[in-house]
Amino acid sequence: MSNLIKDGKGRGYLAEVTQDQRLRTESTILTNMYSVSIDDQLAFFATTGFVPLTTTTSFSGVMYVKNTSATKNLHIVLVRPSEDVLTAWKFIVGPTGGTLISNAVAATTTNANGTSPRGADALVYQGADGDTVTGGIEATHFYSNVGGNAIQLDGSVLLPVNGTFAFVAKPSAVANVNMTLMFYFNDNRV
Amino acid sequence: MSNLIKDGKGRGYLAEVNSKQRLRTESTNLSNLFTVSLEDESAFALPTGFVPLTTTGSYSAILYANNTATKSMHISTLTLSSSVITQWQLLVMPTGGTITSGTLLKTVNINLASEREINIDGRLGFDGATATGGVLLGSFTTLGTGQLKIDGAMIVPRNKSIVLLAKPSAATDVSADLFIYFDIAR
Repeated sequence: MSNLIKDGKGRGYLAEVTQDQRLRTESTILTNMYSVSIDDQLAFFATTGFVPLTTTTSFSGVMYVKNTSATKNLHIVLVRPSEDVLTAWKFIVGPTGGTLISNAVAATTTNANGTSPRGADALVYQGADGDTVTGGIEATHFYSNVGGNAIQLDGSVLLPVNGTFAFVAKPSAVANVNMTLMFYFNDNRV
Repeated sequence: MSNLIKDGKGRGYLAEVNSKQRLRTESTNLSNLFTVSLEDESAFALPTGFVPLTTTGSYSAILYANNTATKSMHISTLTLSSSVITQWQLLVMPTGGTITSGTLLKTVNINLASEREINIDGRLGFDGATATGGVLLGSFTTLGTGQLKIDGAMIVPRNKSIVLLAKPSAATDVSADLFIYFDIAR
């Protein structure tokens, strides 16, 4: 038995199947960040603001994040450093100590869905010149040029419950640096 | 016989077919890298960290990856970084060179909840490291960080390899992150 698909608006249109035997559809494409923001209100921005750094010979801790959700993974969508001189960055997974963590200066975290009062189940700290980060694994290194470079991860890099990471920066001259993240929380499912 | 498509949540909505006879849908677009990372825990990064280069007149091989896994390796994204203007080349199927005996490079599962590992031969390059043979796939220039998104369309079969080379305009550190996944469903 074969069926036709009718227009639910009652206008009599019937869905087309092409000569390649494909059902023709017209789709509005949503990103996962958008879907989570609309449906679950669990998509967030976090930013350190501009952190003045005078130390140019070693790395200073700039941002620390811990996923404090009881059940959900934290998915990183976008890493967006900004700075007024060329700056070297390191992404450290699983840091355990240092003044970036012990000083516990809260960064600004905002729900991407402006209609939602929900906060992020995460500790997000911002650093200061000379802040240290100890422990963990240096997962990646990169440079960001004047003005900043965006690194799009599209949620593929995910942090489990109680997982932590940090960004540390070493500018090539005295500078203001900023780290902004876009991230969301999701269950272990697609 | 024709049918309507009903809302499974029981709210009585019926799917629209428009005047172009297309069924209207709304889709959340997931990358293959995301899906494989979440469902199969088989998406990985190969990060070089900062590699100091002083050779400016010729290319140094920075990253070599030979797919010794049982599945095809999909190249998802290449992130390249340098503190001075740097030219890069991506070669496929190199046949030799000193890069193949470079330091073993550890892969990082980008699903940080996963302890799953993958068996590929990744090598970290060094100043003056060579790669011979191969076919040039692409050339790029960076100052700061640039991303090349291939979305898995580049497929490296078992026992085939790729190599990444860099030629900076002055002595510098460079870094490269290769994001790969193994599509175990196909």
